[in-house]
Amino acid sequence: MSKKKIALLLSLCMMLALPTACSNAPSASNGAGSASTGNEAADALEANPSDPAFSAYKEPVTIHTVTSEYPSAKYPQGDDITNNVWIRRYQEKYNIKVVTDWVSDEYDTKLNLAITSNDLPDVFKVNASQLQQLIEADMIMDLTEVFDKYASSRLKDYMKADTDSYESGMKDGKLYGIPQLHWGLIDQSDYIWIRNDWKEELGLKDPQSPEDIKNIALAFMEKHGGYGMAVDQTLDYLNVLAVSWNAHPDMWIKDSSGSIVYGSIQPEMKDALQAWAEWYKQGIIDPEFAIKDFSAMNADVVAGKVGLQPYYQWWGYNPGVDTITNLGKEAIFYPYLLRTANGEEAKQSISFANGSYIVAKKSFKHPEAAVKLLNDYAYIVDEGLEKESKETLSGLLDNDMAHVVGAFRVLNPTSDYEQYEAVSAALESGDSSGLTSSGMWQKYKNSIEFKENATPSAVGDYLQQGAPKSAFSLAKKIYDSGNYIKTELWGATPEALAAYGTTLDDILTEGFTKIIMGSESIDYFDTVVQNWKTAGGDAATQAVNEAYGNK
Amino acid sequence: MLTKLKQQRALHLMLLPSLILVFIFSYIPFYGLVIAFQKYNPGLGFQSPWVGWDNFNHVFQQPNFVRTIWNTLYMSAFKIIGGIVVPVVFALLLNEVAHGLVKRTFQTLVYIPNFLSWVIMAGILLDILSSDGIINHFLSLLGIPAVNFLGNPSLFPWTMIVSDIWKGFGFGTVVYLAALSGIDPGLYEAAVIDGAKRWKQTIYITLPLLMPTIVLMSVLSLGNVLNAGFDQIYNLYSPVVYQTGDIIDTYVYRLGIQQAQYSISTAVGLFKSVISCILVGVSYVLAYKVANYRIF
Repeated sequence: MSKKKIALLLSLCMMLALPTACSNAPSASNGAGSASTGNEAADALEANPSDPAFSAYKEPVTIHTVTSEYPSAKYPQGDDITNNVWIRRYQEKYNIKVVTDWVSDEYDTKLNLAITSNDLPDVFKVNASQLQQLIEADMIMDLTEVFDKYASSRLKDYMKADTDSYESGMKDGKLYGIPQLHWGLIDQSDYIWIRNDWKEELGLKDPQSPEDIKNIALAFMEKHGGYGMAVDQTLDYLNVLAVSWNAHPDMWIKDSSGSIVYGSIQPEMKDALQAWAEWYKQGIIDPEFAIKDFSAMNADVVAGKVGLQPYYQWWGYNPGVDTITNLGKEAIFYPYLLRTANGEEAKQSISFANGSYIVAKKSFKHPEAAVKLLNDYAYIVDEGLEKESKETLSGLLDNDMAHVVGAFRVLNPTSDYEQYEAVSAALESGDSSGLTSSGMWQKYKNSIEFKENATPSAVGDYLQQGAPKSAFSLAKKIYDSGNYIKTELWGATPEALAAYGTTLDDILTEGFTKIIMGSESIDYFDTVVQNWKTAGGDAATQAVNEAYGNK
Repeated sequence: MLTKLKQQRALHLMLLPSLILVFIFSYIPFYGLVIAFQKYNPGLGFQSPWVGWDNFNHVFQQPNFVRTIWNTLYMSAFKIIGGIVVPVVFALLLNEVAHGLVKRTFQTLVYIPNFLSWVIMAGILLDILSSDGIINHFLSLLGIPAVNFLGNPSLFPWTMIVSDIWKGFGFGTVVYLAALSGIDPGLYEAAVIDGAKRWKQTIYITLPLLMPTIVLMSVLSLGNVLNAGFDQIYNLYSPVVYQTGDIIDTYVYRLGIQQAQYSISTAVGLFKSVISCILVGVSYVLAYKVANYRIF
């Protein structure tokens, strides 16, 4: 009796389960129709075929996309991320209707779900691993010809400025993902930031070696108590200093034999750790760094407890704004280049900077429409100041409107470099006619604002570009002289490495933390490295060499 | 059996909606378990290539995985034991408080932390346990040097255990108080006539009658033995305490979920479910054999 019932139940289960299972499986038929609309008539010809990059369509073309919210954007009344000045511009200028299917803060997760259920929008942005998965599943389009024909020369120049990133969007010589690029490699330099009023009060010189940094820290501690240097539990900020010992943690670098090795396990790293362990013993490194996260680390800086922080070029934005607000403009920190023990400028680490790619669904009929929008964004950002009215430009770029375009932009990888050149020249000469983009204008304005009125919210732009010893003035020197090493892992992370998540790095972070805190001696380094290798480091190294070696 | 079913038809019908919900949300997704045996690519869906036990091998070959299993069992064992003993004792004590208002006030007060999420709780704990926090301040008044509750690998698990019990014992207290109020007062009256004092009454009447509830709660919590509290530990741990504080869930989070390695996460999830299922089964049988108590 009851057995019969169970059998009945089971068969019911199967009946219910099968249709769900089937609807989850990708099928060629439901991919084609669902997302695209009937608007894309085949005769949607262009108004001006001689200028494919910027010509409008005669018939409206619809692009379905998806995006994530950009929280700091301030829209005019009634606008939002799905309906704003950009969306209207696309419609008016190109007759392209951009429809946002969904907006999510959990973009990657939601997109993975869309990929699984084969419910893709027409054009969207993906990360490096999603790009590989989509190519593998044959779900996205080869954009090589479209890009070649429709991309503006400006857009192509962007790609030429960072060919490595461009190639990372290709597979077997075909372009599947257009990289969204970045503001520039000049952004990546590492510095030691030193609180200026403390430094001047004690009459200390600029640091010329790691030894000098140590002595500055000790001098600060003697005068102001507490500990000497703010770092956090991830070791990311302590690792900023590693280049002073010629170590390049978290980077894949070539060794003398030409094969790729992991920077964190090289002997140079051991030297750095030995010094840091000594610093920790002397109380220079925050005794509680091991349990402090990013915000706890910065909280001590803002509270005026510490005068040294290894950091990136954006110190002025965070914690700089809060520090100046809380402690006044005298408490400003200035950046200094890191130097090796013999006083030379350290070789900086440059890691792969392209985070996302623009892709088009395989069945999408008008991929060129997306390229037109990319051309338009590049035009507005780079040429807008000369060719568009102030109001138009301000509407498109200010209040973070520049960042609400989701997939429809590629950044100019030389923009920060050019921006710094123009801003510093304008500040020196007082002649602002050379400022050709709105970004330049903003940095220029804020730099003057901070210099004259010490407005805390302007300190970020000031320290990045406007200050006499700004972060970019130091970075430009590094960048111009080529005094940096680029990671060899320039593109998607190989599957065999991604399969370890962060656990390989965790082994190193955990072991290194113990060495720094003195619960293990420096000889423990070799044990940690051995653990890393057996836990999968060797396999990962091999995978990286297979993917990126001998290039 | 059929006649009984007929008599109780209305009751069974009332059960039906929840049965359907459980079926839809808890049984149908079982199908997704296949991705534990695949090299899952969201684009290919369930058509992803089969890889057999590769995902399981990958996880179990991680040298640190054994350590996380041990940490998980260690912490959850003490959390489960404490999570039974503390509320039972507290409920017994509270039950002796005659004044209704005092009783209800305490009951509410200890229940409140239960409603706060660990994200908020972690922020509070980080503050009060830091070197200049209130607890270390108090210790320094007693001449005890500052204790690094969250950064010391040998203390970290106990910080987790104690704070978890503290946060959760209000719920258990409410359950046991409810069970206590269900005990027939006539039994106590009879015991008083026989000359039993408070202590004897507790030993011979209250505890035995509370036993079914205790056993039920224990059996249910045993299913969680491989969940040592992801929310709590993820918000409070740091690399320096991985050695003693890293549990299966936090490890898998760093191994798989952060990088969207669905297959690996599913494999570990399946492994945990199978172990939990066995443990619940075993504890059910034990409860029947030892305590002569059946849940179903």
